[in-house]
This record gives sequence, structure tokens and C-alpha cells, in this order.
Amino acid sequence: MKPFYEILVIGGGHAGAEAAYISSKMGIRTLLITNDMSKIGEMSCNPAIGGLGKGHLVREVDALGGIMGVVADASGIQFRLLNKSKGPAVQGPRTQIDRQEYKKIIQKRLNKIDFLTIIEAEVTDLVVKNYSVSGVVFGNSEIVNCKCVILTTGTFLNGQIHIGQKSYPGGRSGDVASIRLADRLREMDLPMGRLKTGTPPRLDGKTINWSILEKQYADLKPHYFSFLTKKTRLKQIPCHITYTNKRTHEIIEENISRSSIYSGKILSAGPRYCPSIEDKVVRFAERESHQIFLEPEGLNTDVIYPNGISTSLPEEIQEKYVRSIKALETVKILQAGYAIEYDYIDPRSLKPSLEMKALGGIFLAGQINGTTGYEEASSQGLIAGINSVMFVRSNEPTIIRRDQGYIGVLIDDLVTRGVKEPYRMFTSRAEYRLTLRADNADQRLTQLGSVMGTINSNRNKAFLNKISKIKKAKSMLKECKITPSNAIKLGFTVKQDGKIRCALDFICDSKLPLKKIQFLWPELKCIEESILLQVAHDVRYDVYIRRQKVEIEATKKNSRTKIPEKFDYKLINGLSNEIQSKLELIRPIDLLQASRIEGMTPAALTLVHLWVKKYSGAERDHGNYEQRPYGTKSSL
Amino acid sequence: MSATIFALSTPPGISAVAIIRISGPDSFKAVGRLLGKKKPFKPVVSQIRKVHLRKIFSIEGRLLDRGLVILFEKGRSFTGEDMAELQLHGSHIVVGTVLESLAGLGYARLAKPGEFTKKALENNKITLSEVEGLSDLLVAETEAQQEQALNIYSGSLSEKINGWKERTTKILSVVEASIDFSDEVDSYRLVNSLIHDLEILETELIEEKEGFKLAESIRGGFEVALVGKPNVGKSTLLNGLAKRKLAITSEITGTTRDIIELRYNLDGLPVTFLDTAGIRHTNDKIEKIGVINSIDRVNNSDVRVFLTNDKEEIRSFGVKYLKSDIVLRPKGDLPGSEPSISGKTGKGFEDLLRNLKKIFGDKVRKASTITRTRHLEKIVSSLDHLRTIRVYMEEKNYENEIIAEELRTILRNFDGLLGGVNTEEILGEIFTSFCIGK
Repeated sequence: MKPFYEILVIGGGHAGAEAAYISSKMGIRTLLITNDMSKIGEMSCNPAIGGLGKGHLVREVDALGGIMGVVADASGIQFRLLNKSKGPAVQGPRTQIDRQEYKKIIQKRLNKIDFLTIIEAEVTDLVVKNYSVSGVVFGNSEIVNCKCVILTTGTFLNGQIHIGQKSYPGGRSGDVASIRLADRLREMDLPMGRLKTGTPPRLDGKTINWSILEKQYADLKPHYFSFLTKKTRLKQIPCHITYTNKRTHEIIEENISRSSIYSGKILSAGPRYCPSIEDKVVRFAERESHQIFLEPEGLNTDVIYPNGISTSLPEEIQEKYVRSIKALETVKILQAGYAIEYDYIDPRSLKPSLEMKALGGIFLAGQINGTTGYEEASSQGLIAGINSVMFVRSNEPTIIRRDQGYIGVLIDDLVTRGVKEPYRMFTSRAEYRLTLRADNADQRLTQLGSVMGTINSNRNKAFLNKISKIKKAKSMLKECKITPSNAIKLGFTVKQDGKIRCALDFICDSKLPLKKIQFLWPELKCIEESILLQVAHDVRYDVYIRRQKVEIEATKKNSRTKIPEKFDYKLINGLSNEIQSKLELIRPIDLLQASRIEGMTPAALTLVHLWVKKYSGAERDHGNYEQRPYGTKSSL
Repeated sequence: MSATIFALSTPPGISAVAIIRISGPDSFKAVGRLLGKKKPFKPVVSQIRKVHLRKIFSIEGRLLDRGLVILFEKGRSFTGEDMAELQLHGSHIVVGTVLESLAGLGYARLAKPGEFTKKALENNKITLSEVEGLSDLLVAETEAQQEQALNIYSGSLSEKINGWKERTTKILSVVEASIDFSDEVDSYRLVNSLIHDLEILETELIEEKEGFKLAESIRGGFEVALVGKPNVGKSTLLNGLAKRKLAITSEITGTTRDIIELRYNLDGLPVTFLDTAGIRHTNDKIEKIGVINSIDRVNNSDVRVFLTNDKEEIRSFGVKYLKSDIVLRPKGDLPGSEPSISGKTGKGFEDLLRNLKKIFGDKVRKASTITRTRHLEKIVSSLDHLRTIRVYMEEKNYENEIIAEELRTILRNFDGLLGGVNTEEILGEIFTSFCIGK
């Protein structure tokens, strides 16, 4: 008998790998279907993982038991914590990655999982019965049955590559677009949009004059993504920095009409945070120079990724302008830069579980939803993987709230507000930024992972151990007391108000090295530095975190009022047409999601609340109130 | 914990009674404070659900009104929470100052539209049959509010708020850029360049806050200036108005020797008519000062009634003349062009009063006490946050994400007045102003 796979994952990019990893790890038989096994976990764009907001995502994926953090740590060749000079909430871990190592490790790990099978095949169709998926059809007409499908097919929908005046269909450079499945999806009449993204030319490191360039080194003390990683595996190497100059800009300006973007060949929206070099030169004409990071693609390769000069100019112009740059005068281009246009499915057609509203059992994750970036893809893959397991088990889906993690912010933004350009995470997207730090991702999410069964007992033990250490450290710090006059004598800046302070009050002072506190109170020396640091971070934002907690509590009320899936918004008289049609499109699961819809007003929200109550037939509470204690004497 | 909220529950304007409702865990504490109790106020059971006549004080202890106070305990109130009702005299000043005092407590805030109903819903205090009725009410409320929001925020005020919002968005985008794109922009220099922008914003908000207080004191009523040449019949008109029974305050006070005032109750709206006898050319120094005062007073009036046969003559009076001002032919008892008015016979009185009622009615709606209190509340709160930012910057001991947090709160304040900013706007600002993307 053929084995039955409950979950089929189509696509082996970062979303697909993460989804297949987590669902099989949760004990559900999973089949990962890819066009090319050797490309599973391929880093098709820049050779780096993490950064601001993105690093937070990876840490959250790790805290929930995902795979990206562990593999990135094992293949990192330049760990750097970004924003070291700023507060802990906005520091993000990042590392350059050895692309070959990354692929190798993730493939090895996926191959080791009992419940996961990986095959090379082309999926051409979905088997749909009663608005719900029951299998897929392969290129050889073979049908494979399943309970649900996770689509992580990236930019394959109608992908069109542009280099100068040339353009041809294709996914990533060199891939064949799965045209038949794409056609099938288009027939389903899903809401779609078109986006653009681009890459820079890849350079041959042997032809770069390295000695004259400024270097950027890895941190001496690396910050890893995974809470489990204890040491650096690979050799750490620097990146180099160079700059465009007047001559570069002149070459680009002279040939601007030959760029796919400026010749009108590309009309779709590209990411504003990652403009092509043509865009930079045109839009910021007053700048005489732009920074370029020359990023190595690995330890054993000469391929260099020049970060900052993505382009869709013709190949010969690319060579011309690249060679006008310092240290690149004789550089050889290994692969030309290009722009790619592709269709994405409007993520507002998804539930917060990432399941399609129109078709049961189909989950979408990654670039197909209009996002960009490995980290964003992996986060969605993780959630789609977890929720397809929940689907198979007929359990309630797992939804990470905006106050719980960047993953929650990402998915809520996608399904509630949709995208207008390739969506990338920034810390500024998180309204509870001070609560959502990279260093406390485990405190926010590991327990959830433990409940869902996505993390193993070792990790849980390590986590509980950390929590108890933090608790102990906090109480120890509270015990270390000092009077204001003594504090001043020891060089602290405090008010002479007679109030006894404790070490906890001083620990968040950014100008004060933790060592000094440990010197003053030697009993604190037994606390690990990382634990002490985390306590310091908690205390530092205390006022703001408490303020945000009040807001979070208020929003939780709204999340308790669920809106039935089939709720008829036409019932509500008095809703404006605009809001009604938005509600019908987005179909929020609860009042909290409804409140985040663009243009929602408090009165409209109350109307929805009223009618949902009526619809669900809530009973009136007949004065069965709790008696509360009142004072005995008082005069009004 | 849920918020403690308050709002005027009766229509704004002059009425016999105005009711302010307070709901939430701190309701009793808030009422206690207004009854002059400095310690936390815990009513005994026998005081609940009873009517009490009490003096109401401001936070500073100034007597504001005497009114009825009723307390409802949690579980047995409209919202299901601890609630209090204050029944006050229905005057702008009383209601305005009581609302301001409540806002000034710091732990209660003005209710958002429909919020009392929302609380009742959350606590299962509304029956299904009530849902429909309430829903109609909400629609009405929404429309009224929309109209109100449009009115009050059309023109210069919304321009002002939009200006602050833009300024804040710009400042915030610089701070956010310094966080999210720190290796591409020089964050230290950027954030320092903000000090100037922050100062401008602060100055503007302080001006608004102070202007608001001034407006509050004038807003005790509207002023109508009667303007015309001497002996055109202004005094006769004033006397004619004073004799009508509609004028509940018929006292005539000469505040200066040049201006005579008549206080008048125009269907609940307090209106003061001014007879500015003094607008004339003079060489007498003291008289000159009087004339200048008169002109100021006329220019500051809400409406000017020009008594003249010839519109061209108005310019020669040297005072403001707006489209909304009224021009009437004096001595309307004699034949001539219309519209006209006669202090002798009372001809044209009804038309004039109806006209004024419409103009002032609109203005009252535009500037309802609630909207104005909300406005002030947001400005005061924004100023607090701006000060926090300044202190941080002066101490040079700050982190950009904290500054951003304070700015986000300020921006939310302005959003509360106008509606709608989201991250996209800030990101948009970042991408237009900075060259980002490596």
C-alpha cells in the first residue's frame, strides 16, 4: 500500500522547508514536493539572515521550535548584532551565511526526520471537492491524496525576468516556472496582484582589489539566533565596503532609458526600502555616492554579492558601471543582475491561520503572499505548518497575537491590511516594540511551543531553567539595598530623598557597566551575565511595558468577541458600503482584527459587536453580580 | 483592567439639567475627588443607588456647581461596571469645567463614541431586543459625530492639527529611520537635528492650549455688535430688545462709557448685544483710546449688525466686515429698502433673532463641549510627552526607541482627533526622505 501523507508541502524554499520540518516534527506524515531537491533551502538572494525586525522573527521561529535559527547559526560566517549602540528592543542579530553550508545542513536535517518524505516532482493541479482540497495531481497524472496542502511556491506565478530590454518567463534565474499549476490557480479566480523585486550582479571575488577597501568584522562576542546554540561553528570573515561615485552615476543616468524599470517595461510596485541603483540615482540625485557592502557567499567560494546595487540595466551597462567603482575596476561579473515581476495572491484572502478562505485545507506561505525575505517566509512556513497540523487534528488554529511576537505582526498585517509592495519586517511595524525584544523571544513563545508540541523536552527544560534563574536574579537584586548618600558616594546619580534603593534600580542605567554592580555587591557575581543583562532590559523598559500592558489588555477584550465565519454583514444597517465590503473581503475572525481594518470607526465596530451578539444569541446577564466590599463608614 | 470613562450624556447647549456619566473601576474614586475628598472614596452600601445633593469642586478645590450625584455599583448599572451620574446645571461653563476636572484626574478619560454601549455589551447588560434600537441610535450618533467632526475640523483647526500631525510624523520618521536603517543613515546627527522641530511643535501646542483657555472664557456667550453712525437708532433697537420678554437678563451695564451691553437669552444661547456708540473720529486722547477699544470689541464680536442705508458706507466705519455679518436698514417703520429693522415698532426683530439663532446654533454644534474637551485633553497629553522627550534629550541619556515610543503616543493623540495614521505613513515618509536600501 502506498503511504498516505496527511500534509503535502509544495515548494522547498524557506517557507516550504520550515513548514515541512515543523509538521513532520509534530508527528504528522508530510510529503515535501520540489522541482529540484538540491535547491531545498537555497538562499537565492543575499547571503545573510537576520537584521532588524528580521532577526527578531528568526528568534521567534526558534523559540517555537523552527529550524531556521539553528541552521543559520551553524552556517554563519559573520555574526553581528545590529544597533548595538541603541536599546535592547531594537537590536537585531544578523549573520552572513555560507550558502552551500546552509543548504547542506538544512537538507541533512530534513532527511533525518521520520515523518517527512521528500520527492522531486512537478505538481500540475489540485484535487478540490466541496471547496476543500483532497489531493494533488503530478505531471505524470498520478494523484496523491492528502488532508491539506501547503503552497510555498514563491515567485513562480507568472514570473517574468527583465534584464535591460530583454525579458523572459521564469522563476528565480535558472528555474522553470510551474506554468500549469499557476494557470490552475489563476482559474480559481483568487484576488491577485503583481510585484517586482530585483537582484544585483554577482561578482568574482578573485578579480576584486580587496586590499584597498574598508572592512567590517564580525562581533567578538557573537549573538546567535537559536537559544540552543552555544558556540560558533564556522570561521568568521569580514565584509568589505565600497562606494558608487560620480562616474558610476553618470553611466547609469546616460543609460537610464535602457533599464527595464525606466523604459516602462516594468509597471508593478517594487520595494521602496530596497530600490535599484537606477532608482537611487534618479530619486536622490543630490547624493554623490552610495554605500555598497561586498558580501561573501561562503567560505569556499569566490562569489561576491554586492549589496546595494540591484539593477535591471542591460548586461554590458552593468559591467560598465560596476567597473567604475573603487576596487572593482577589473571585476568579472559571474551572473548579471535582473528584475523579476511576479503575481502574488492577495493575503487578505487568507484566514489568520494562513488557510485560504475560499478553499479548505490549502495553506499559503512565503513570497506567494506578497512578502519578501527568508525570515518572513520561514515565519509564515512555521505557522502554516503548525496550523495544517491543527487542521489535520481538527484543533483550533494557533494565532500569534501582535503583542506576542513579530510573527503575529507579520501575519496580522498581511491578512488584515494586505500588501502594496513586497512586505518586509521592520521594528517600526510593531506597536509593542519595547515588549517584543529578540532576547526575550523564548519568554514570549516557548511555552506556547511546549503546549503545541513543537519543541522538545530538552529545550523546554533549558527554558524553564532560564526563567527560574531570572526570577532568582531579580529577587537577589532586590535584596541588595543602598541609601542615597551611600549611592552618591559610590558614584551613582540619585536624588537625596532618603529613599532606600536596591541594585534593581541601578541595573538599567545604560552608562553603568554590570561589572560595577557586581563589584559593589559581590554576592551578585554568581549570576550569569546574560541573565543579568536580561533583567536589566526588563527593568529599563518597565514604565513603557506597563503602559503597553494596559493597551494590550484593552485589545484582548476585542479578541474575545469572535465573529462567525459566515456572518452576513448586510444584516447590519448603518454600516457604510466601504466598511461593509472591506469586512466581507477580510472576514475578520474577531473584533480585534476588525478594529485594525483600514477606515474602521469606533461606532462601526460597536455596530458589528451588537449584531454579532444578536447573531450568536447571547443571553442577558440578569443581575447576578458579585458583591464587592464597600467601606463601612463614609460620607458622601 | 478596563478604563474609566466619562462623557456628557445630554445634548450640549444650555438646558435645565446636564448629565455626566462616569463608568469604570475608578468611577467612585473620580466622583469622590470631585466631591472634595482627597482620600480614596469608598461609598457605603446605603449610599449606593440613592440621590445625593452635593457641591462639586474642581481638582484645585474651586466650587463648580451644586448637583445631584447617584452611584451604581458593579453588576447593577447600565454598563455593568461601577458607575456614577452627575446631574448638573446645564451651562457650558459648568459642564466644561467638570469634564475638564475629570480629564485632569489622570485616571479617567473621555469616552469614545459608543463606548458606554460597548461596555454594556461586553458585560452582557443588553438584551437582544435592545440591540436593534441601540443600533439605530448609534447610526444617528455616528452621523451627528461625523457632521460634528467635519464641522469642527474643517478649516483652520483641522489645518492646524494636520500640521502638527505632519510635523510629528516627520520627526518620528527620522527617529524610526535611525532605528531600522541605522547602518545607512547617520542616526546621531539626525536625531539631534530634531530638537528644533520638537521646539516648534511644543510652542505651537502651548499656544493652542493657552488660546483654548481664552476661548473658553469668552465662550460664556456670543457677542453681537450693533454698528452704525450716531443717532441711527442703535439705542432704540437695544431698548426694544431689552423690553421683550425673551430677554431674561434685562440689566443694562455700561462697561465703558463707550460700550453698552445687553445680555439676552436666545433660546438657551447666551448672547450679548453691544451698542458701540464710540466709533467716531476724535482728537481727544482719552476718547481715542475708547474708540480703539470699541473697534477691537466690534472686530472680536461673533456677528456685526450694520445699521445703514448704504452698504458702501460700511467701509468707512473701519471695522471688520464678514460675509456672515448682517446689514439692515435702520428705522424700518419708515418706508424704504428691505431688510430693515425698527426699534420703535419691533419690525424685523423676529427675522434678526432667527438669523442669529441659526448662526450661533451652528457654532455651538461645531464646538460642542465634548469635542473641545477631547481636543484639550489630547493637547495637554501631547505636551506632557514632548516634555518627557526634552528632558531625555537634555540629559543626553536616551535611547531612540524610547523617544519613538513617546512620539508614537503623541501621534496617536492627533489621530484620535482626526483619525487614521498607520505605520505605512511613517514608512512612506522614511522612504521619501532617506535613500535607503543596501
